[in-house]
Amino acid sequence: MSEIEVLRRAWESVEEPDESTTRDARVRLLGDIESLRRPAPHSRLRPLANRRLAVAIPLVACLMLVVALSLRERLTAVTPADAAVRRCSGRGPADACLRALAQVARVQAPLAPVVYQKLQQLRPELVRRNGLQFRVVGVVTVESWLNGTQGTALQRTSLERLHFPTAHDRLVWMRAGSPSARAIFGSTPARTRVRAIPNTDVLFFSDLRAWQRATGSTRPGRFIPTDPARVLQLLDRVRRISGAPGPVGALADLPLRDPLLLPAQRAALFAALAMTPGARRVTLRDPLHRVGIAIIGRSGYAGSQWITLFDVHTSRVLAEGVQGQGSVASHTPGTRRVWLEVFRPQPRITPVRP
Amino acid sequence: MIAFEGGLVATGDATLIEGSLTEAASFALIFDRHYPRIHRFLRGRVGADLADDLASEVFSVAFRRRGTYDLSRADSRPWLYGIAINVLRRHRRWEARRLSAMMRAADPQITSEGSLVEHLDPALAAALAGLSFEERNLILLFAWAELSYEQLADALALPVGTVRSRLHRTRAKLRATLVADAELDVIGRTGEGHR
Repeated sequence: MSEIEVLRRAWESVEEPDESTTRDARVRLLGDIESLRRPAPHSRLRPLANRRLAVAIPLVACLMLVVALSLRERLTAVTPADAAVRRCSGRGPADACLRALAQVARVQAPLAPVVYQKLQQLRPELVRRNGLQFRVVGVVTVESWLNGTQGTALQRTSLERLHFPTAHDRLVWMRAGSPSARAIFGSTPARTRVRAIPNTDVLFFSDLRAWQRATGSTRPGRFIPTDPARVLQLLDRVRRISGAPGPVGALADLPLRDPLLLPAQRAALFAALAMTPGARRVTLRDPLHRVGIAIIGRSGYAGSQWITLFDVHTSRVLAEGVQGQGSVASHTPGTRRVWLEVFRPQPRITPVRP
Repeated sequence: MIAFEGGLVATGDATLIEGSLTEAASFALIFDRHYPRIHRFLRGRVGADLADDLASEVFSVAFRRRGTYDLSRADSRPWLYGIAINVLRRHRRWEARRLSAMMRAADPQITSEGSLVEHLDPALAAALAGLSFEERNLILLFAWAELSYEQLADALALPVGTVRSRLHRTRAKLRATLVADAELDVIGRTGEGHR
């Protein structure tokens, strides 16, 4: 037996903290966080000087910034993508960034009549079997072929792999007889023909039926106005019809990843989003390690936020999901809506003959 | 957001930590994810009582330093273990005293509450006591926390080459002590004693 094995054997007798210890420590940490949030003590400058500086410094800084920005704007002719990269870098309110993305969307080439889309969903599960218990994440791949001229889609769903949050979970899974993905999730690869494209698996609509009634169409995406103000009106109508208890996040409601939208329609969606208050932007990396600009807004689910990650250069959606209700690693029974969909970098475009 | 890659699901710590800069409460998710292992590691080093306090301190320090977290690291474990080592540093004398106490104790002891005292085999305790604090950090992060060479380098702020050579040396030292101590006989008993 090697010295490492001796150490690991000794390690087996060291227990993890019990629930009450963990709960106490969590409460203590949250208390710490709360106390650190309080305003920092005043600086040592004398009050009068402090007040004068407090007015003077931001004023001068603002002036310099305005001069610098206007000079830069005039000196350099920029493409919409360049402008978007600049407006979207760093963190802060999202409106300027969204307006820039609207310009990017406007000059995007429209997609071909048939669009291939691949997305991955993570399905965390706590499995109890033969008195054993382990956590596992099923990676579900959903492929769709959307036909824009016929308004139909072909969809294939397959449960690809099992991921284990920790090596221990894998071990318990093996002890439980290595049940297959099928045995755990009860699903098999499926091939479905979708008769009408607005299928919530293919395109995200917060309330598809309300959208359909508001636009009077089975494919509401076709009737997105190109005027941002009218997009907001439509959104209001959808909300009234769906009877949502409160205001729902505009970001979560807009069909931004409908690949069959026209460039002008997508531009209007971004511009409309820029007109709704409260959205923030931040640079993030997605699970495929692509860097994009995340727009974070209300999700309509209490205590959580909706995130959509965009490629700044093309305004396309890279990934989206809900933040704030747990995560795959900290999966606990009862955690809902923990998923993330990943979009492949370039939708493969298949031209179709009429 | 959630990230996953290769064999390890759900990294994405960087995203949570970044999110916690604006939304402080989301740091609680980092706590949920890593508290049990950090606590267990500290418990292995200094015993359950002190581990409660130290583990809390680790996350408190981590929260205050979250602004300096390198967001290109998806997994925050090396960072957290690095903080844990720094917190332990102030208690290395206590750890040494505890190890030497366990060297003398022949059998696992039962406390008045009836729980098993955290107990290492005397031979192993002696071998660990023979290492320096830095050497113990390295070998235990490797054997217990199961960090890779790159993660060890991150946690201990050392170059990977140094980690590799020091780990090799420390393992040899540990092996020599263990073998010399009991001609492997004790090790065999250790296994049974803990089953």
